[in-house]
Amino acid sequence: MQHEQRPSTEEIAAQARAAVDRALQRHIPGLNSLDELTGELGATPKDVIYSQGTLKLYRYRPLCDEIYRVPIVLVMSLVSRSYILDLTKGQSLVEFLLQQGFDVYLIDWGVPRPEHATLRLEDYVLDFIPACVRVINEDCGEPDVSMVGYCMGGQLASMYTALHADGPVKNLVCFTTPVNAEGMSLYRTWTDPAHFDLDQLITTLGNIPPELIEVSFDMLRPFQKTAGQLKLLDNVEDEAFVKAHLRFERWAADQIPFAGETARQFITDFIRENKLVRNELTLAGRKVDFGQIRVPFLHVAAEHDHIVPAEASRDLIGLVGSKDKNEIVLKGGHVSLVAGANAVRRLWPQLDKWLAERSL
Amino acid sequence: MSKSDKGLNLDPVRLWREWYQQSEKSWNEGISQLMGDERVAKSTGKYVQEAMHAQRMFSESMAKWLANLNFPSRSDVLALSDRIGKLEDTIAGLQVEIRQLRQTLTKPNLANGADLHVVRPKRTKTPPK
Repeated sequence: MQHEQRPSTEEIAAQARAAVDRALQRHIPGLNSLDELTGELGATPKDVIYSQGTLKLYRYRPLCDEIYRVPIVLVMSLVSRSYILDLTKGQSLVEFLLQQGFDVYLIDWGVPRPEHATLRLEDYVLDFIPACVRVINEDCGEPDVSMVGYCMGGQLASMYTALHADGPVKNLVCFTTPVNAEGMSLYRTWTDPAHFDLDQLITTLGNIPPELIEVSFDMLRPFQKTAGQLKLLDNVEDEAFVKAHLRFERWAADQIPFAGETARQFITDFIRENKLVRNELTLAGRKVDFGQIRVPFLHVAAEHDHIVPAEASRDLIGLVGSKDKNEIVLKGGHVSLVAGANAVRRLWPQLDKWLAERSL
Repeated sequence: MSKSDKGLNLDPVRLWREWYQQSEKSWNEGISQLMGDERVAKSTGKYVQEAMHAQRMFSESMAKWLANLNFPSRSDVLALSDRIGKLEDTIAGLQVEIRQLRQTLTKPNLANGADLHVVRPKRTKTPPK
């Protein structure tokens, strides 16, 4: 008796894939248009000029024939994707800075994997950032940089600048950077050692999963998401609004894990013991004293920021030792501050002006 | 629906939406106060620990079932994601090396004593007056 030839595993897999694709195309016609609506995010042309583990240092391709002498390095938060600073054409801080004639670099920390659970603040502040700054100095041929940190990136940039007071940071800009944990009372209550076993959490999970971080942000304003969806429904005919909304939503849902040991330091030293505002934090035995920051300094805060409330960030300007220091407080929230309509209209031009005068 | 006829519209769903949006701020404030309560924080902390334990147990037993059905589990997908992450990092490393090699190869073609930076935009820009 002749046996019928049986299909191989690859053939079965290919048939299954084709069937799934057909089903998706038949039943979810709107799926493609969602991607079309948000467009490609973080698409400003760039080159990776340095990498170490998950870290990537990007240099964006200049858009002007003549640029300012001092390059800008953007330092991203450890728990968010960096493309919020380069959302899309017309809604990108990176693109704006390039158009104004700045040479722009960005430190993207990448997504920590289980083997990165042992990374500590020391690694970021005393190893990764210095390595990136060295590469930037070699790449552009200039001895100094303007450092711009967003949220936790602002903390890292401030720590680095305080511990390298003799340079090479020429100007320091911090966007909504938390330094006083008393202004983050909910986080303090939630992570109180009396009922929150941090050690067990990190021992069990290694890195803090993004879902947990997202839930903690959502818990700060539990009804905000639904209200946002309803607002979207009200503006469903406004294509620009829908696109901008979906881009934010996509970014907000695209959180990354928090390296376990760094999270432990962050919660213990900052949230629980509030060491930053007291200048008591030490990294590898070196005291982080923000008073050592003497370069021109700009702090930008958002009035309605619920993730880093003004009470948590407003002390920073008083702590830094610079004579040339300014603060800008704008309407808006934690994210719209850097990428929202208000940012495009109000913050970016002010940032450009502040940096341009100090980038010669 | 245009905004001009907003005031005349008595659509109950729309009215509910507007009421929800207007009330959101005060609801958030109320919930925030509740969440800041020591007892709520205590029970949340307890819940996180128990959920973590339950999740681990559930994942382990589910993984066995999925393996029997020849389906990947969540940890399999995460492992795949990690492998993709490693590949991305390796590619980034290669991009850096290619870029450096290209620069090294380009250098001899530049005029004697010229620096690589001369092919870039001039760094002489001043702020507009």
